Amino acid sequence: MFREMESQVNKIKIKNDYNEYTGPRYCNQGAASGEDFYHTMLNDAFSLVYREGKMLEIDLDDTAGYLSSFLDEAFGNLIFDFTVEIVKPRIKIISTQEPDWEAMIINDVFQDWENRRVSNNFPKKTEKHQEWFRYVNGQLTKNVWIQQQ
Amino acid sequence: MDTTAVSVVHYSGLQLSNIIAIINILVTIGIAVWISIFVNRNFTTLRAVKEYFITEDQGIRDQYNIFLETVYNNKFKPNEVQEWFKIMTIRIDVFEEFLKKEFKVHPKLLKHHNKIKVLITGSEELNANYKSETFALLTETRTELHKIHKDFNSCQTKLVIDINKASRK
Repeated sequence: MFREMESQVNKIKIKNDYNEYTGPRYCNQGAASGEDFYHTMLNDAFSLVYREGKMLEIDLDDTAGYLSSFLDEAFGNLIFDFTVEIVKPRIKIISTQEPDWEAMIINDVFQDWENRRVSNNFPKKTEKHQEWFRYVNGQLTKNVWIQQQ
Repeated sequence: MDTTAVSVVHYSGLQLSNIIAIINILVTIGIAVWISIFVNRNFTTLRAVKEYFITEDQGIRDQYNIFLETVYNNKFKPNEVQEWFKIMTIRIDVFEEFLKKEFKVHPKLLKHHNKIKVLITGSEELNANYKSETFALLTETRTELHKIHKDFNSCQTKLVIDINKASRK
């Protein structure tokens, strides 16, 4: 599912480990969406590095490009479920071909979705997902936190 | 003038003033040759480099105008948008990187380009129609796009002026 390369860093290269042709924001809008990437890969990958005290490196390069909404939905949900305080120090974004994506995710997406989390502005789920991890009361708990809308 | 110098002058049959004039001519010719060979060569090179950057700037502008015209006319395929933006991001990034290295010019094309990229690729209109053959931007998205596109064009025009004024690093 994702590669465990070095002892302290787990890596996801989106082109190799997920899809070279990423899609729109929601599952019901098209294939390889941000919502899908989060639920099939990113949530599990991050919960693992959190439990093992590692870092997660996500390499965005070498794909056919991204819609900003794909990245917003994927990384935004990560903040919503784990908080910016937990995610920020444990994640590294590689984006040498489009460096602005890294800046957008760290500076804009993280803050916007932390605000959403605090104000309980829940994300939309357009597909039924299996249980996923969320940081609740100081621990990771797996559940279907939001039903398909 | 001492006697030695006078005797040298008389021996060669030349007046000192003539020698000075000859030296003056030789120096002038030397400078002219130096200017024609080195300075002119450098100038030609500098001009050629500037022309290259100006042409590239124009190329980016043309490609952008074609893209936006296609988007405004609802004829761009939604699932091809991100690849177009990626190619353009790399092109502008490399262009700006070399401009910074070669001249004391710091363009902001990429900044405006990124704003346009986020506006279009984050729009509900594009995402909702991702599986369709085309998508149409809403009036408010178009209005915002016009504003950023105007800034982008202004930046490109200013860049041509800056390149022409710039000296090599």
